[in-house]
Amino acid sequence: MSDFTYDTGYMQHLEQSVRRETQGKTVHRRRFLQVLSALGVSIGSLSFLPSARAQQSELVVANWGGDALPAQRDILAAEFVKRYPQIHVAFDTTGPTPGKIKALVESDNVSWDVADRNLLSALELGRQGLLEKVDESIVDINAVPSQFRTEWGVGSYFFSFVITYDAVRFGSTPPRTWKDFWDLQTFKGKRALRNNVEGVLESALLADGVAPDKLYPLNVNRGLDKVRQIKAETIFYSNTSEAQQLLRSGEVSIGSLWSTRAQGVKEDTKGRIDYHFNEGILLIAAWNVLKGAKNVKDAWRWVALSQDPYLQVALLKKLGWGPINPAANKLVPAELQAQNPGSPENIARQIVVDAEWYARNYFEVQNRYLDVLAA
Amino acid sequence: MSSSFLTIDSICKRYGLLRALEAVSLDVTQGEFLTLLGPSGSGKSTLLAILAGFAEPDQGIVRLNGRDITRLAPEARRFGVVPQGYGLFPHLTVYENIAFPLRVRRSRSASINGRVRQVMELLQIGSVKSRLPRELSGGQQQRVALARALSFEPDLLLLDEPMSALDALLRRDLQAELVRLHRQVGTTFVYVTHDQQEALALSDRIVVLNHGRIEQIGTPRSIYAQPATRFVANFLGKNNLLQATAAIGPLGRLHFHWNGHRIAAGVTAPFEGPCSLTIRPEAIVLTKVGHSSQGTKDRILGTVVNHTFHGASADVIVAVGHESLTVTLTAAASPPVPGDEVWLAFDAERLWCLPEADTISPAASATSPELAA
Amino acid sequence: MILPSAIALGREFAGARFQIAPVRGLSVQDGLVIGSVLVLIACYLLPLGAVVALSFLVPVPGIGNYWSIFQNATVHAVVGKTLWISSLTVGLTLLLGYITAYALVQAGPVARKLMLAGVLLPLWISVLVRNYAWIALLSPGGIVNSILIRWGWLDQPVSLVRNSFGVVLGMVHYMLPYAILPIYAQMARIDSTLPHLARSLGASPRQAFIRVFLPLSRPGLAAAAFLTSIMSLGFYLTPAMLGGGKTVMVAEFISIQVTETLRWDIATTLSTLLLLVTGALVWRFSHLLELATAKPKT
Repeated sequence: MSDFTYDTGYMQHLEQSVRRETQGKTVHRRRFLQVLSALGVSIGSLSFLPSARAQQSELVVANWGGDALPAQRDILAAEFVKRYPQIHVAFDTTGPTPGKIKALVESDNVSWDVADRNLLSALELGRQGLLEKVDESIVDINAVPSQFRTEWGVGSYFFSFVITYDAVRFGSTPPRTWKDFWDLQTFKGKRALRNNVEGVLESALLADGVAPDKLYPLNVNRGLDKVRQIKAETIFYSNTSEAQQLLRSGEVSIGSLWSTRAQGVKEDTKGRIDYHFNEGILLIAAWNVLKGAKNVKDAWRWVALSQDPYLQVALLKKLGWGPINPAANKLVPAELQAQNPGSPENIARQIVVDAEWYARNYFEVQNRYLDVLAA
Repeated sequence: MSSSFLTIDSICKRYGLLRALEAVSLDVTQGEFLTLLGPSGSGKSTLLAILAGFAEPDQGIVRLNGRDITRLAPEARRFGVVPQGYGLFPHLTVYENIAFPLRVRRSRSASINGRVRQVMELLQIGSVKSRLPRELSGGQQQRVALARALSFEPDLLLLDEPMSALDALLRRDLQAELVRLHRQVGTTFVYVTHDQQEALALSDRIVVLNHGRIEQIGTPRSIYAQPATRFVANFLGKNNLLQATAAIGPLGRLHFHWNGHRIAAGVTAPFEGPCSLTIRPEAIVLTKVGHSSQGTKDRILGTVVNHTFHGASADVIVAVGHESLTVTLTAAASPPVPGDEVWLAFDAERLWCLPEADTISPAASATSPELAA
Repeated sequence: MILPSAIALGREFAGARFQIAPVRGLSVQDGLVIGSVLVLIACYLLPLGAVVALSFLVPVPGIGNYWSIFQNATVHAVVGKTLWISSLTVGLTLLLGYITAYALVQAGPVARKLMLAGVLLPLWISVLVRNYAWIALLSPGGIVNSILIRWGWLDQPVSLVRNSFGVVLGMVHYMLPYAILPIYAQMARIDSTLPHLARSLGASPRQAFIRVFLPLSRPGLAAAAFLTSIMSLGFYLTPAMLGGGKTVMVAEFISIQVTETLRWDIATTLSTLLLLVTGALVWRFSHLLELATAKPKT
């Protein structure tokens, strides 16, 4: 039955997971196995599924595929291999979700070394003991401003949720603010929001008149109420290519998209779909190194490499990743500054997401958001 | 037919190239037991389907009491049907099967109960009323099918080979039962079968069908004794058909020449020329050569070639010249054995002859101009 | 224990299929059976057992997860939505499946072959492709809306996907073959003369259908209801793709709890309950499927 997908990787780690979750106090290995054998499961089969990685000299980078794969391969991996010829860089594009990272780490069979995630994730997963702490002997943490780094990750680039709209439809009066985004009377047509709460509450609260500097701590109830107002006219997408398609086909007139993808759809449609950074919700990407990864040192070397100002500019050119290293900003050509989420002018127009707030509230708030959508 | 209860007028029905029925016309009298007899493919089941309303004829009219019902829906006809294989509803109990016609007519439940009990009693199936059809024997299923078809007091009961699935013993019992039932309820029965014994045993009248045409209509006795066609002569019971020539003697008496023998007929109707002479096997008297025998004048010498014992009777095949005859003997003390020489004598009263062409009856040919000349 | 009985069962099947005489000791086919049973255990029973075990063990051992899941409002909403969408889907699938199966039974042999091919063909097309096809057809800028607007039947495009309607449509489309085939198999076994006969006994066409054909086709209908109910409870891709994010059903909810919010307690508990409900349905109603293939009793 092709409608059902099944994640085999998830199963390897259950024993570990139980021990971890119960702090090793309440469940002993023996008792766990007794439970399993009562269910008709034999012991020997617990350590199955050989690891995907072969040699120690391989660095496995987990990313989200799509445009990111060729860009990371041609810019980052090419340079990495130049500097460390003995290391082979492999990509896994199945998507480093928190669930998979947790599953891998807890199974003691960590087949990924470094994952393309963000600063919120570094805090959330780091505090659960799923990530390695930054190796300051390899990574220069001072290459990024202090608010863009945590114990478990250093910011690697900027990206933001931006108001992306049908420029032909709205002509000379495009939606400028989240208030406009929420104004279904003036700006006709459907809306697209991500089905992940990150960034959505900020948009909703700004639309509801909360001042940008008074956003945090987020008033969740108020934000979700605001989402409810436009829920009927909104499509909640799960991956961004879906959102791009919704705008391209005209099914949606305004969407909240990652700036990197908004730029992509703008180029595809030759400007019919446009975006701006006004009131953009700025997020900080960060490489997360998995706890117990087989190649931790090389993983931090990879992170250090990605801070290289020249490579950061190259990635801006190719993917729209906003350079986070202040040293890179001077190297950005003038014509690229407009699409750089991290340029001083654009940062000034945007709201920086408070990773700390999400690290403490994400799981609960995400489920409440889901609750609103599913109701 | 004095009162035309059901009239079938020039019915034609084709299935593609196959002519299932060709210009079939027939009157059914109220209260009679009429059998449609014919081999498979003769059109008898098609005719039944047209009467039941399951099929529409291409041409022709069916009238009930003078009213055209050719295109009337089955449910509007009030004809009970007992189909081949009984057609009991497998999900309903015996009681509910019988009550079905009353329920769909929205009768009051009290009257349904009374009527169902009545027909169950009539057919002696009260003891199995809460069983499902698959829990019944073949004979019981047959009775339930009859009860169901009669429960709503139909104007006509159509029975389509209702006994074809039963064994011989049960069949005989049910034949008697059916005759009793017909007498008791007085409903007109139209019965379809390919079994000539059944037709002869049950019917007031028989309609013999072949290749979509009616061959003959008549009482069992008349059809048996005086078949109108070679087909009928062969299809009903055992028969001897002999290639003979009819001639009228000086006294105006009819006789036949066959195989070098002269056979006197008991009928006086003038008839001359080549014909098929029919003589039933039981209408031949057989005596062994050497025994004293009467009526030596018209006797024919033959040789026994085969002998088949049936219990109450026995069939003996006798060769006469190059031809052979079947003779049925009843309770012979010392039956002839193959090789025996025997004398055959035909019962003159039971000779019948058909002209070579099947289209004209003997009575009609008697007045034909050629014979008068 | 599961293993020996599974081997016995497997051997029974293998024996019945290939008519191999029993051999003392372990034969080749025993080895094959044991192998496949082990694969089955490794790929299905073990992970499933682990899911069930986790639901009782994290974050603390006991039945606390079950207690809290019954009080979790979000779970209520998701389960409620799943049941509502599933019953709507099953109902529509049975209705359409019944009509199609009836048409199949009534059709001539050539038409029937073509129609059966039409029924079976979608089974070979990925559900992903089919979902995208529905989007292409039914989205506001899609073919259907364009035609309706061009013909002047609509002023504004109508939302036919990315809502519950789209989910139900996609699910019904996916499950139709699973409903049509058992119903058709049952209908084909019904003596086709019975409805005629019912009419000769005085039933109108409607009565003949309701009192005779419908009850006789009911085992097929029940088998179809059973199959589609079980399948609809676990639907994942179709609601996610055609629901516009607003039709979150149990399977997608579980997936989000596993991959995004890391609430494995909720995920495993809900999975176990889903497994339990499906298992109970299978245990209680699997005889319906045998019915559809059994020979008619005489």
